[in-house]
Amino acid sequence: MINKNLHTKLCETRRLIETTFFHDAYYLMVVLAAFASRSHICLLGTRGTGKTHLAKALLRTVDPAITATQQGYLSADFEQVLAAPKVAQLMQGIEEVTFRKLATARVKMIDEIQRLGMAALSAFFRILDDGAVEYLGQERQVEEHFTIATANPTERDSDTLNITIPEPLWDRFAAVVWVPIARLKDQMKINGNVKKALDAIQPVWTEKDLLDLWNNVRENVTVSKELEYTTTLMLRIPSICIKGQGYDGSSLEPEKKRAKCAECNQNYLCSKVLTPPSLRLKLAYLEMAKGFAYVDGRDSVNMKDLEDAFPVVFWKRITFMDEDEITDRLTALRAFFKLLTKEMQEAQEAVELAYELKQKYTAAKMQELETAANAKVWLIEAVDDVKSHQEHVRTQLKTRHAQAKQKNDSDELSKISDLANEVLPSQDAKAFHHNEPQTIPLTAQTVAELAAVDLELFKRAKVAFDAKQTSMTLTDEEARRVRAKRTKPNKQKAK
Amino acid sequence: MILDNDFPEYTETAEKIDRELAYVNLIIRRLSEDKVPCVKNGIIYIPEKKGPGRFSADITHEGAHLVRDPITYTDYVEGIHAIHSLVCPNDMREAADLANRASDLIIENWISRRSKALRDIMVRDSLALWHTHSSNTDPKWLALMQAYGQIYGLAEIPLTMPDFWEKIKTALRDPDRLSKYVKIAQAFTELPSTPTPPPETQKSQENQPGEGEQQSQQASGSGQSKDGEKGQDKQESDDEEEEDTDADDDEEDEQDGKGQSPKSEEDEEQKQNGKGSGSNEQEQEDGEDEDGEGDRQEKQKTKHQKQSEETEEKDKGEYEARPAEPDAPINPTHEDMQTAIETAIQNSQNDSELRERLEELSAIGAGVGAEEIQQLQKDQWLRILRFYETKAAKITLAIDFPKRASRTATELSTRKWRFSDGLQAIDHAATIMKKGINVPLVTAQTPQSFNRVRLDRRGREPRPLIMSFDCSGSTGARFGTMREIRDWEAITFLAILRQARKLGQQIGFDLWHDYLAKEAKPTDPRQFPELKRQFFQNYPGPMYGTSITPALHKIKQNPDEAFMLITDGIISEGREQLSNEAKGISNTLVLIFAQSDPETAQRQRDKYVPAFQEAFGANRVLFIEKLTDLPKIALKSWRDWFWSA
Repeated sequence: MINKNLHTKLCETRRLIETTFFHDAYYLMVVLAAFASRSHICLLGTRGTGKTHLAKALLRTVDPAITATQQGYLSADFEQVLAAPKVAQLMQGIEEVTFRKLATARVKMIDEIQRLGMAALSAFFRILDDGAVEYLGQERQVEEHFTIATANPTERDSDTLNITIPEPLWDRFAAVVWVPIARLKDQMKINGNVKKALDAIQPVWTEKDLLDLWNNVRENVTVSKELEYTTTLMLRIPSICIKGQGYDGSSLEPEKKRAKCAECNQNYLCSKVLTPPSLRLKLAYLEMAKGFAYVDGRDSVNMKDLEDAFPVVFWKRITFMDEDEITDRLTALRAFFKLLTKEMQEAQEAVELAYELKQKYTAAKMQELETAANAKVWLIEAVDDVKSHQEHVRTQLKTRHAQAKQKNDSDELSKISDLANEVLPSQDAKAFHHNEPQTIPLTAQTVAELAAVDLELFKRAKVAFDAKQTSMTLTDEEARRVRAKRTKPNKQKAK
Repeated sequence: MILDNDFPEYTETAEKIDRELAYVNLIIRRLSEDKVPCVKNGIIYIPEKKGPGRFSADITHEGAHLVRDPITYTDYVEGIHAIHSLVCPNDMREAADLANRASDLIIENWISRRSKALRDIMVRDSLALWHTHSSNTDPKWLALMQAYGQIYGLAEIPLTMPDFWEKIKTALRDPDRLSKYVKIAQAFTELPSTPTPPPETQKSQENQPGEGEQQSQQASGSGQSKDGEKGQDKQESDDEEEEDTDADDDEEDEQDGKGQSPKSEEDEEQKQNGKGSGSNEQEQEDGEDEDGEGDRQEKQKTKHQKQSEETEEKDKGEYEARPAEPDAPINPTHEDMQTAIETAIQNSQNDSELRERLEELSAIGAGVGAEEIQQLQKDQWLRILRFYETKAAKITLAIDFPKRASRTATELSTRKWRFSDGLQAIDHAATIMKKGINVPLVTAQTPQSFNRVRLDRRGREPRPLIMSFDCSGSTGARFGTMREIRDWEAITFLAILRQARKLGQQIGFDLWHDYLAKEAKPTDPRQFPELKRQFFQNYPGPMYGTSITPALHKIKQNPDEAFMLITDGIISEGREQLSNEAKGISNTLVLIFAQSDPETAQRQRDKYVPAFQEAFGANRVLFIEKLTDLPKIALKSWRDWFWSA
């Protein structure tokens, strides 16, 4: 269950921000979801779109004692931003460090992150990972913290004030959202009062509340197994490449991937992706989805949350093949989400087939699965999975078969033969066939049983039974069919 | 799902077929009316104005190529190669044609068992095809149609070549794909050369597509009895093919509850439903995999029936047969052929090998890219240029380049001071602080700055580069043998041009031996094609000596440009003269490649390389031990010079 008080506070936060930030509701929802789930977020946009304003408004709602804001500028390097030595002590040979507020705050805001000094920027790799800052051998860690950053990637590279933010750092931001300039109806609301309204925002969140909120979202908002599986596939489908090492598309350089995709079939969804996402995406995705659910007042994630979270977690983690032609990336990402969900729905049958094949092998089903894998290339992993399962079973049966043969254990050999017939392709199962004829006692009940197996067998049994024989010899093949028939009612019950 | 469809009016039909084809994600593009349907890179191209029936048949057939055989163009080419090497070693075009037929038969056989909806579509199409091209007496065509007839159990297509069908049946049962291709191809090549006329009785009645359509409806609907008679072989084929697949005993086991003779009951059931055997039987067998699936199967049947009825309704009076000569299953696109040409070039060790590969390709291409291949075959210079360019591309791929080039950095020379540099060249601060006394080769020289960028009206841009090539007699001829120095010089030049395009750097070249044979001023990347032409047309003949002085004069006259001097270093100038000539030059990187003769190479190491190092500074001279490394090292040096901060 979600904590109602905390949720009310979150609603209050939303109301307060809405008094000063006029924009499409989605952007505020994204920021609130990130805030609630403690997912670090970076707001992108050109100058004057309101990203800094939004971040400031959010910070206003938090107790100022636990917030810190840092403006990006080139000389804002490590010592100015995060930690510095105490000069007086240093003169006496004592290495003492003052950790700046940004290093210790629970909620950190970095404006224009692309302008931060190189060393400070590098330190953010670790801050975003585990909240730790290390300087002169001393460390300060605030693991439970939330970072909101803004960046303007449209500034020209000739502007030497900018530093290109490395891809791994982007990957450490759970969400990245592009904030466009507000639409006309929202612009109409923007006037001189916006600043006043911002100043009027009073803190809602104390440190304790914040920690409770983050804990509440983490522990009490649940993601069903199915949705977790969906998020895994959403990561895997665009990442796969049959030409890459271990089917990993990200192991190919973008140029190489482009060249390979041009040779491959365009109806595979992976061919739409130039740079596949990293594995970090899955965790970020689940966290953000939880955030969306919480903002909506639910304690479980649904498909709508995944849809809302999709563009922001994929924003910097994926590059499309036709990226240059995309003008509205948000729409493109939403469309891609729809493609992925449809692809998964269509493949559901094949996935179930793979599961069934592991329980019981039939060549027709295997052929069907292979056909599905030809249609949707990522299903090749399901085919491989079935094959490796068979290989595993084959190895185990080999050992058991050798032992049973050594002991001349006919029952065990029959069992192995049955198992092999059930799980392995017929040509592989042959190696485990128990070829010795087997004798069964002949009773009225047995004869009746045989009637359900095979007409010829029944006739033979009937003749033998009428001739007062007490047992009957069956070939391994016949015996197997009889055994299969006997076990069947149990199976039906189980079903 | 349908990823893209240029025929929105048939979206519903396309969706149904997509579903039947394991949701292959159809991308359907429109072709002009007179073109043949085909698949390229997973995209299905369909000619316009052919009606819904043709549309269904075309996407069924082409879509099946994507999920069953050959799936990708590479797989198709594998099939062609298998046929080429085992069936018709002298005729690549024939191999391609046979591979095409083999693939068609494989998928038609698969479609016939896949689902009733797809089968019905193809039955109608096959009949229309048969009636439309009734006058065609080509044995291969007749054989193919008869195979279709047997696969779909069509009584209208009489079997006059039973031996051929037997071979096809056997081939279709083969589990190995390539072996299937070879066996089918073999069956076609063993056909009699004289055409076997089709019996008049069948065809005279059915010459019009409209009537053929009625026939098709019979065949797909109530006409299943024909399957029972003529389609017997087909059934056998199916059953046998499924022998190691569906025929697992446990399948039969699950038919319990139907008494001791499940088959007979099934037959009865079928009779009651008004159904024959043929592929439906197959479907039923598949449907009986699980308990309680009977209802679902019934539903499916109804669904399929409805589907085919709907399609039939739409098709009335609009059906048009596909062309008699089918197109390749997976057509090489222009890009495919480009890739194939590139691959051929990449995999060729030299020009003569390349010519052989191009010959092969011209056969497979069947029209696509033929012009380009012919041009390459005829024009040696063009071919060699492409050959070099491909090698250059391969080298550029092997070297990592930063995402962005350096735009601001200034590079400093680290050469030490020598007496000959004069006192003004001493870095006094560094010298006094470090050593106190000026010692040649220890004392620091005033840093010689070299700005990698220059400023002009448009802003900062990389300094233009002139590549200065030694073209003396020892560098050999350039005929794509890959044994001569000039081959590698050319590749180096082209590799740098490729990357310079990304950097926006202006590039020029000098060709020199005893004198400057050709100078090309640095030009914009847009002019690079012209630059390449000049480079290849102005290469001097291989009979000159080597004097570096003219090249060095040129360098001195152009201090604003960067130079990359590529030579074997065996020059007529002495050590002292070289030092004097090179004095004041800070904008040049010298690459000295080792000659293949070990003695000469040793002499280069002992004598010439030190002389160059003394003249230009050790950090400005690179000795390349292996000629084949020249492009790679040159490219790396150039990258370090202009790309990195």
